[in-house]
Formats: sequence, structure tokens, C-alpha cells
Amino acid sequence: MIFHKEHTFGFRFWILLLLSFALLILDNKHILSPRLKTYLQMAATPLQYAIVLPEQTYFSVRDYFTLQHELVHDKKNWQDQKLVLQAKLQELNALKAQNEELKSLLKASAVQQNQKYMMVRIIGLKGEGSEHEVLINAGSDAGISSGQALVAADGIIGQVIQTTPINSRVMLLSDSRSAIPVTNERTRENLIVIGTGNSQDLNLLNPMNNADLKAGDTLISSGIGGHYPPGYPVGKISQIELQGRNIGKVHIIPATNLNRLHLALVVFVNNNGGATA
Amino acid sequence: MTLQGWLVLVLSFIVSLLLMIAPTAPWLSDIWPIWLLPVLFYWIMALPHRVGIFYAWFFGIILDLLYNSLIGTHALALVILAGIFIKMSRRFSFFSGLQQILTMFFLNLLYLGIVAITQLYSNQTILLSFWWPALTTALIWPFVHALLRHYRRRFRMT
Repeated sequence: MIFHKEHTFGFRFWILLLLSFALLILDNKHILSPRLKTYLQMAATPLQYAIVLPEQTYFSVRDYFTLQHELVHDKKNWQDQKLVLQAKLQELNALKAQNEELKSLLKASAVQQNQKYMMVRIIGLKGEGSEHEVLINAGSDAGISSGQALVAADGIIGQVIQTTPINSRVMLLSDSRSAIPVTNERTRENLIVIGTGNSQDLNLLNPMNNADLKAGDTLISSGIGGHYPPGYPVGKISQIELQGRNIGKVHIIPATNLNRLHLALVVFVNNNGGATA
Repeated sequence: MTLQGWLVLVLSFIVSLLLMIAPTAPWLSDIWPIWLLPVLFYWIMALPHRVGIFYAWFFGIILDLLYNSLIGTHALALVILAGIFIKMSRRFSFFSGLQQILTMFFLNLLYLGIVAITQLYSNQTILLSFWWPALTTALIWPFVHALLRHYRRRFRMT
């Protein structure tokens, strides 16, 4: 034990200060073993699970005591919804076939993407300052790796940035480090949406002055860059600030309420394009 | 110190860590206090021969793991803060309520400042709202102080 009673306060202070400094530099230069960091982080996981325990207990108790007539009512609702969705799916399949045909006529070399999903539960966390991160209850053991996108019912919510065997950390779109390539659904213009640290406000990265933007425009992911899958809603332009005649900040409301996330899907993309199909 | 006393000590730290990562409503999120600081300061003041710089470092490392920041970020900030506070804790306990809150405010600012420097070092933006917790953490000090003192007396922690 280095902390004997006879060691002075000053000695302990400087040792721990230097130790912290050394760890900081080692971690920043990626010298600190990622494996060690992963194990340490797994050791801290119980705290992260503990914080959502009250909420999840509430939900499971509420689910347990749901009245029978409510369940019957819900079931009927789901069945109706399923029918509607199945009908829509048929329409979608027809469109997909048509699209393929048109593409082959155009000799387009667009990669056909096959997507698979994995349902995960979200453990909300409060990050520091402009960091918006959540944990999900699946990790590298389930095949998840850094860079995979997460979608909820209403659109994209973020991207996996770190995994341990049992869970992964997801950076939400609202994180100030986040950026996602998007397409304006109305004009097909390519843009980039960045996080601001505010969970209800995203911005456009350097909007050009000749950009055709209107409040109410829907932005969908473009898939450029390959991190995020194409075609999912990202958000809607809510307000365009003007600086004189120039476009200043463009405010975007995220498609999904990033404060109320419970379940999400991790997207697995298989590029079965061209010869490998 | 009794087993119960140790339990209170450890539990108070765990609860403060849990509060720090508890998801909150967006409007609360910007002013959410740094719960660990007043808890750490109280125990340094009340049990100086037990709680000291090593506690600060240890919980700093745990905070780094929870926040997924560079390992050492919060450990560094907490070690510096605890170092300063240990030197002044004797005087601090004779301060009036308002003086204590003011002192806490400046200590919190210093803590956030150290964290901010290390975060800028890893290329993150620091928003203006980053500094709000310095104020709210100072304002919760009297309540944390009263609560922990209540338990310290009840379990006769020395």
C-alpha cells in the first residue's frame, strides 16, 4: 500500500495528480489497453443499470397488472394495425420490384442493401455538457460493432461508438460531436446535419446561401459515407435564421424525440451488391 | 466507525454517482448539479482522517468510466479540488452559510474549468450552459450538508 500514514498529504496529492495526468495522456494517445478500459467499464455497468431500475420496475409492474379488457383492446388494435401494415408491405414490395427494374434499365450500379435489425432496450444516461449518449443492452457478443446505426419507429437516433461484450454506447444525433449526411426530400439536395448538445434542436453544417431550404422540409439520411443507412427520416426544418441576406443557422427538429427512448433497432447492413449477390 | 457508518459513507457516494448519470428532462439537464462534489466535500470536512484525496481519485476514475471520458479527466479535476479543499476545510467549517455557498461556487467553477480544458483537448465544444451546474451545485450544498450531517450523527460516524 502506497498510502501509509507516514506519507505526507503533499506526497499523496502529487502522486495521484501525476497518475491521473499519465492516464489522461495514455488514454488520449490510445496507449491504454482498450481491453482494460472495456473491462473497467463493464465493472461500472451495474451503476448504469441501477439508474433505470426504478423506471423499468414501474413498467414491468404496470405491464403485469394490466387489466384484461385493456389487453383485449390492445390486441385488437395491433391486429388491425398489422393488417394495414401488411397491405402497405405488398405495395412496398411492388414498388421495390419496379425500382429494381428501372435501375436495371438505367444500368445503374447502385448497391442493393439488405438490412437486418436487432431490437435493443435503451438505458438512458445523462452525459456531461453537450455529450448525449445512451447505453443499449447488447454488445459485441451479439455482433454489434462501432459505427452501426440505431433507428426507432420515427427515424434515426444515433450511432454505436463503443462496445463491450454485454452492452454498447450510442452517440445520439443531438450530441455536439455527431454529424449525419442527409438529403432534403423535396429538393434532393445533399446536406449535413450536426448535433448541438440540445436534444430538441439539430443544425445544418455550413448551409450554402443558394441552398433551397424551407421550414417544414423533411430531411432523410442519404447514406453517403456509409455509416448511416439511407432513407430514414432524420428531422424536419423548423426555422431558418437569416443573417442579412445570408442563411444563418438552420434549426431542425429531430424526427424522434431523443429524450424518450425505450426500444430501438440496431441496423445490420449487408452489402450484397454486384457480383456477390 | 461502525459497519452502518461505512454503509452510509459508501451509499452516499453511490447515490451521488447515480444522480450524476440519471437521465433528466431537457430543461433540468443544463442545470443538473455535480452531485458528487458536495458529498465529497462534506465527508472530507466531517471525517478528514478517513476521507481524503484517494477517495477523490477513485470516484473520479469511476466518473470517467460512467461518462466515457478520457480516463483521468475527472480524476484529475477531483484530486486538485480535494487537495485544495483539504487545505481549507478547517477554515471552511467556520464560514457562514452564504460564505460557504460562495466558496463552493468558485470551487465548482474551478472543477468545471479543469474538466473543460481536458474536454477541449479531446476536441469537444463547450457550450455556455456547461457552467450552470457550478451555481446549482453551490445552492444544493446546504441541503446536502444538512442531510449528511443528520446521518453522520444518527450513526455516530467518527
